[in-house]
Amino acid sequence: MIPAAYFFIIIPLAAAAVCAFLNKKQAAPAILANIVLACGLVFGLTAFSNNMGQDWFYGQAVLSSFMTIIIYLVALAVAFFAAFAASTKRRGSYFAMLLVITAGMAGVVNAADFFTLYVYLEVVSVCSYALISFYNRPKSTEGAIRYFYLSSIASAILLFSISLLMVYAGGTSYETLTAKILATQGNPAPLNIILGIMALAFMIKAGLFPFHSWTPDAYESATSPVSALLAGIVTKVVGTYALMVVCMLLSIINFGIADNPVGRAVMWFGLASILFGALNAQEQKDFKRMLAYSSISQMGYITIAAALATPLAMAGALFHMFNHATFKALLFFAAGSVKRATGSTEIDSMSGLQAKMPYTSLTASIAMLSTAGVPPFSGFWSKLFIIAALWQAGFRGMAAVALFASVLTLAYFLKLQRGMFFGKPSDNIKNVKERGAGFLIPCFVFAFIIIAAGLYFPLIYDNFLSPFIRVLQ
Amino acid sequence: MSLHLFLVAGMIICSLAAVMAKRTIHAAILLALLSILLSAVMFTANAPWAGVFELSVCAGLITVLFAAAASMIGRGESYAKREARIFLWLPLALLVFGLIVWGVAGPVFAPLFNAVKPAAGAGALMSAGDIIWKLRLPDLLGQLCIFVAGVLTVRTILGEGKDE
Repeated sequence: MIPAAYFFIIIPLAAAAVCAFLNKKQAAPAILANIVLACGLVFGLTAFSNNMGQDWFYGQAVLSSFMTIIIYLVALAVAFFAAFAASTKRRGSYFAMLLVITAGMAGVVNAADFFTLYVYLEVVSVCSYALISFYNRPKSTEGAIRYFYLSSIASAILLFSISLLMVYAGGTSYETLTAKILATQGNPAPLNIILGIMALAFMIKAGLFPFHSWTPDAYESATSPVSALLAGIVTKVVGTYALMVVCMLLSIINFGIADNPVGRAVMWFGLASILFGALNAQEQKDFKRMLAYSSISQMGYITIAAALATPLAMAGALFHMFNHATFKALLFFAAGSVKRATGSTEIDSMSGLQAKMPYTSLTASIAMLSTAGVPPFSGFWSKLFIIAALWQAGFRGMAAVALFASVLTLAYFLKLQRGMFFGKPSDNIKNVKERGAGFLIPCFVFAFIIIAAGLYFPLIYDNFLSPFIRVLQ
Repeated sequence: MSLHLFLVAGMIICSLAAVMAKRTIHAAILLALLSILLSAVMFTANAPWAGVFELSVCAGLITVLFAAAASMIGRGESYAKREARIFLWLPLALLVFGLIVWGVAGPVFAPLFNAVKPAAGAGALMSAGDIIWKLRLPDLLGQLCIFVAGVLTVRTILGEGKDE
């Protein structure tokens, strides 16, 4: 772990300890959390520019810095939204949890060792469990318990694979493993098996099909800021980011992972998630539940690209991770605003919300179009990268399925738009009003990022993706 | 050898007490103590790496206990009492198991145990302190995070969770 990384862990941890004693205060915990996360974001951007030249362990420094920026960006938006949307009870504990989970995620992405990564994964798991069940609603507690059981199984599998690594390679640091892989090019089978077991653990943590059972319940029943945090960044950090690290190691064993059995298996899991998520989202009657299945589908895109592990695919995975963090968080914020304004997120229970909540509707539409990969929004570029990488590597069938699923994404979001936002306002939303600035500012910021990242993609490519691709090449 | 026996006896007592504890927080503390004793066994057996890893993993185990306790919430006190009665038989079961191992498995495996001894100086290249403070500092910070997260979780779920 580079020394600068400690800042991203220690400061939010210290602030969390202070927040925990501010349960009786309303504004203080929210203000403290927002200031700390904003400082972290600024420092993250500085650290990224400093790390661009480094290439220790195959671009991991660049990847870590980029992920740290995404973590702090989403966490800041969530903390800002929660400052207005969260219940007035136990706000100190709530914001303390947000800060600790941010510290945990920063630890995961800045770890240079699988055991360190495991320790911080546990931090994130504990906080996720507590945040999902924070207000003790029966459904959220059920979702949290289901999450924890699956997560514990994944942790046990991960720990087992780490112990195998320790025995086989004599260490668990990425550098040690890279050296071991380069030294044993002739017989990659043992490392393939160990990294395969590890990949399984991360797929469970990511909530990919068929390990997805906790995601719809958890996302639907948790408060909207927590759902935005879970879908926007948590599953990406504990699942797909860690999977990317494993795939990077696998690609050293056998570059162009097409010939690697583990990489190919992970690709199939990714493809199954893309289709399963997209098809199930069509059937959903609840806004948040639809977003949960949509997340499973989008995680599939990131996984398939990470497992392909060519520089183009990795850049696509990284950019889609960033895009998914912004558009999915925005959509959960919109769901939170709708819930607060109407008391429901049932799609069929209302119509014509656009007339009553024009800004929420506008920003949600931008996020939906970006999720579906419609140009010129940012989602278009990342999906283009992923599909082009699959096509280039000879996986043309998979590329076609990924493209087809993108059309499905557009279909279920159009269904949602038509059912909930468009049309004549239904009688039950007569008195509904647009939410205040506190709810809208994070939505507008993310909508701006989605449009700007799409329109100025060359700038994003040159400054963020290109250094990563260069190191990979 | 006597130190080992003392530590192992402590581990057995802690594990039994953790399972039979009536309050979750006592069980969690006993489980932590068990892990610390196990780490001490590893340190004294010249395996500081394993000791440090065990210390780290124990934090994870405690969180699983928190989760299990939280999952019991809502099932009522009668359920908890019924569950607790089952564990009253545990010391007896452990005693029977120990006697079988002592009487049957002990003589069979004795030659093997005698043959495997820690190599002189194995694992002693770095002290436990060096491993913790120089090599595993990020893990230590992670454990601190887990501790804070655990305290907040218990406070949220078990302590203040009934206000809504």
